[in-house]
Amino acid sequence: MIAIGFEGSANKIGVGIIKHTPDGKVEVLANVRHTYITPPGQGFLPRDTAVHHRAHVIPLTKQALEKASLKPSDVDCICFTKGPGMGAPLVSVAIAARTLSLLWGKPLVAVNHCIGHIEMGRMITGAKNPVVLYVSGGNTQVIAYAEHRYRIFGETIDIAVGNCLDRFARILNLPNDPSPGYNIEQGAKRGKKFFELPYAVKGMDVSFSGILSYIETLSTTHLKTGKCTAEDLCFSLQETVFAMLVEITERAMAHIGSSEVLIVGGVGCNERLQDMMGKMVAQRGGYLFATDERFCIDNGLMIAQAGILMFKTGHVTPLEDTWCTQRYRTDEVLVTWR
Amino acid sequence: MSTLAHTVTINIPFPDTRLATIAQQVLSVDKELKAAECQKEMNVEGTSLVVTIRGVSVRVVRTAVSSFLDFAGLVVNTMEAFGEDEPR
Repeated sequence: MIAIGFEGSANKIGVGIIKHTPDGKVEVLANVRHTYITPPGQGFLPRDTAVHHRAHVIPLTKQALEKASLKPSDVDCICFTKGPGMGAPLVSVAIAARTLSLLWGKPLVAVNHCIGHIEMGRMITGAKNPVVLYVSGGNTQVIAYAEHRYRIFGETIDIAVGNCLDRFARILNLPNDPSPGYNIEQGAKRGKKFFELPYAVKGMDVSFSGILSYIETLSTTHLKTGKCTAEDLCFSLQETVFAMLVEITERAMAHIGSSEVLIVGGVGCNERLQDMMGKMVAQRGGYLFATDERFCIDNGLMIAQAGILMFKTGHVTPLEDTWCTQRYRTDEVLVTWR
Repeated sequence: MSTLAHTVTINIPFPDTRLATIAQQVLSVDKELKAAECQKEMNVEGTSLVVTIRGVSVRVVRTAVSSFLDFAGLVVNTMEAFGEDEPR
């Protein structure tokens, strides 16, 4: 069985093709992506991002089919991101998926973006029943599976951790190429002084907006007077927000008695976060599972993987229900494949 | 209803009725966000897709038309790229 997946909920548009064989093997046939990169100091706006996605969805689809050496008739289902994410980019990609569905006569499967990350991570790493830390530019959640739902144990109460990092990169005027988080990570490696920032864990939840305001003030006062370097601030910010994430992940492990942790989402490819999480997990005698940027960062393959699991257990989305939604919580999806 | 005084009608020709119908089906899924301010109606007439957009003001209609044309363009481009591959 072969599924093609379309993802475009944020500034990346991706097309992936996955194959599940009857003996349970999974093959990655293609996973291509194009990122909308804005100039330093600027974020990506929904309208411009949608224009980017509309320009790239067709060439990427051709590229994916070519890479997989497939004809449209070889595909069994077309999967796309229903949400959560930015409205106009989501709809743009959904419209391409719907058109292909009707042209090719293939069923559509609407996928929750967060579920895509989780299933991709599980497939790539082989983690059985991990506590999932889902960290990206739009989402921050600690998730565990129980009774056919991915339950949210803890989450951000304001902005996502990746949003906090992205916006700090904008304050420092760091380039968005390849990604603002990557450039913060490189800067942090050269940081020498640690500045204490607010530490905002509220039970199982976390908050980042106050930390961002605080470090923004620090950057205007301390940077000019030479009290610290931009690298010191990158370092301090990473250490603080990652420590918070490690804390709530550890508590979730203790709550559900799991020894596995899986990190997914764009921030998940940060090696310092993986390092800190790895140390905590090792102390508890567990295992950490993480993936690299090909699978961590938004991609089409994750939508194909979650979609094919849904399709195999009977999910097909009728055309009239293929509308997109900016808000779509992870625990709204009934997990029929576990 | 009577307040939707401004109307634009767009006629998009397609090579055949099947493609015009596909475009109608694909583009009908997304509802206008503010139904009280703007409404969109789509019909296939012959081999054309006829779209009527009604709104409370010229501004609202202009936004809706612009957004609709962006999406309709994507549908047409997708058909051009993939429609000929394998006739069903």
